[in-house]
Amino acid sequence: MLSVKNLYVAYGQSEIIHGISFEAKQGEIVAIMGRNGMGKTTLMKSLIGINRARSGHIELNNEDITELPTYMRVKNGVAYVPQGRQIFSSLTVEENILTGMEYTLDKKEELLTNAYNMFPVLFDMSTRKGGNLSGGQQQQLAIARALVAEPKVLILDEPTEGIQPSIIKDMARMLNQIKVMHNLTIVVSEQVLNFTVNIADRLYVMESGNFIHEDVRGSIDEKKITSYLSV
Amino acid sequence: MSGTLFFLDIFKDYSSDELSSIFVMQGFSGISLFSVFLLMALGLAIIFGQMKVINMAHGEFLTAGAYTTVLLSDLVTKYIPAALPYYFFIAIMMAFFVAFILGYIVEKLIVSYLYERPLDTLLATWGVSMVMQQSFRLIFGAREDSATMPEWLMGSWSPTESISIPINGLFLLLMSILMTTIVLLLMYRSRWGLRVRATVQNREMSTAVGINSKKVDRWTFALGCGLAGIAGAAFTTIGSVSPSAGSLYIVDTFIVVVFGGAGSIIGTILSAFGIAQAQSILEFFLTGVLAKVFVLLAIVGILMIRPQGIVANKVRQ
Ligand SMILES: Nc1ncnc2c1ncn2[C@@H]1O[C@H](COP(=O)(O)OP(=O)(O)OP(=O)(O)O)[C@@H](O)[C@H]1O
Ligand SMILES: [Mg+2]
Repeated sequence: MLSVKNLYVAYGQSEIIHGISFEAKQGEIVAIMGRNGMGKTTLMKSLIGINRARSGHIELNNEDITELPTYMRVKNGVAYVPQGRQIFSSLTVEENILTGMEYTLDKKEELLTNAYNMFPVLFDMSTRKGGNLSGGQQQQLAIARALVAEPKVLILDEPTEGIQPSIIKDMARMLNQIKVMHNLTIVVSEQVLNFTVNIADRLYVMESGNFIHEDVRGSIDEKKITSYLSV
Repeated sequence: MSGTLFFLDIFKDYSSDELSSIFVMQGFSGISLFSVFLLMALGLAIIFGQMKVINMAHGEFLTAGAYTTVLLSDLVTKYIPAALPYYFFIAIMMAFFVAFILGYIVEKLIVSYLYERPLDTLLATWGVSMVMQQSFRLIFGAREDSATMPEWLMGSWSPTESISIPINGLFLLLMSILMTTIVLLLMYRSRWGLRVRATVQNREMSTAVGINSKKVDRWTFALGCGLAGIAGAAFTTIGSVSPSAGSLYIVDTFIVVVFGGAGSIIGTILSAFGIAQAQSILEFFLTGVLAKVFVLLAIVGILMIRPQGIVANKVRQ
């Protein structure tokens, strides 16, 4: 379980996240929605440790990870799929997946097989350079790279960005499947509402570094959220 | 124009048979130089590739490796002369470990604090080089030392009457090929290499997949220095060691790396070979300084046409 308590994050003098708190339970998908520049990426990066918290706490299964460097958070079970995928473009597809196994190398073969079963297209392209994949394929690669770390918490920053609508549906199905299969906690930032409605157990709307709205599955007020998301 | 004429002029006193023998022999003496260049440049290139740090103290790690070899040779000569034929292999390993450990310490105490500041690393490693040189002077004295070479390294091999090829050159060539192969295998077939290549591509993302990039930096720096240490052991077969021995090589090594296309291992190999051979062959006909001037002019000319070096590292993000 991931628990964020009164988190403040700043770039130098400019504070972007102003005291956010939320919890994401095991086997739960928490979605964070917000327009461009509202601070979603800043929050996601502070969960994985690329951005440091100015104050507040991040806890993973009641253990405080706020001060841990990024690689230690990964070791403790947090995995990250960044906005824009950021796969290693000069490494092959297979090497990209292998980079995710820093702490799970002993199960290399099994994890690789699982990843290829889940994303057959990656198997077909396993010896190609990551940079030669299409955007959608890169997204799958980035997710595979995160999953082979066998995380407890998966952080996804705008996974649907630049992906065509028909594939967005597949991705929603896949995330639900991953959640159930691994009993995983997923924190996902999004701007596409019908995608989020399909996956979120809980949903927050973020504006200028604060949560201004919260809904739970089944009672999501789509009209209201749409109005928050439109400028 | 006059340059070309002058060029032809220097060959006029030799018959074509003599010339080809000279080329083969100087070619092989160039091989020794090539081996030292290559080992030095490999280390410098992997350090630069991984963390964009130019290690100004790289030459001193060569010196450290060379002194390690000299010390071991003195000890062996004094206490176990029977081991003299074999000690050189141990010396290579020790030279590696001494330079590796020194590099590890320098990275941990100094360089690791300066990664975001390229100019400061330049100055700091320059400072390190002066401290190390002075330490060598205090410990070993200013005079030149040389290692006792095993008998089998000393001879030469004459495939034809007019050609004789020094064994130490052949040995160095084998050694540098072996080390280059090991480095390439490490880089492209090992977990450490995967970490290095991921970090070189995208440092932030590499930490986000769980790579401890500081540790990768430290080991890479130490490994690069260790290679310079091996270059130092190699160096003792062709020259004598003084506290400033390494600093004489550092400029050449920088040139090799820049000419090869910074960060490319293949480019480094080609460039080390080209520069060492050109220098060595020209040295037979001209004085050392003039040979160097010619080689430098050629390099400057080529770099003006290809500023990215002979093998450019294609970087895509
Ligand atoms: N490295 C940085 N340094 C300074 N300011 C930054 C930095 N990165 C982001 N910001 C600022 O922080 C604010 C939030 O940006 P952030 O990237 O978190 O938004 P976002 O919600 O992810 O937007 P998008 O939907 O466009 O990805 C913006 O005003 C942005 O200009
Ligand atoms: Mg963003």
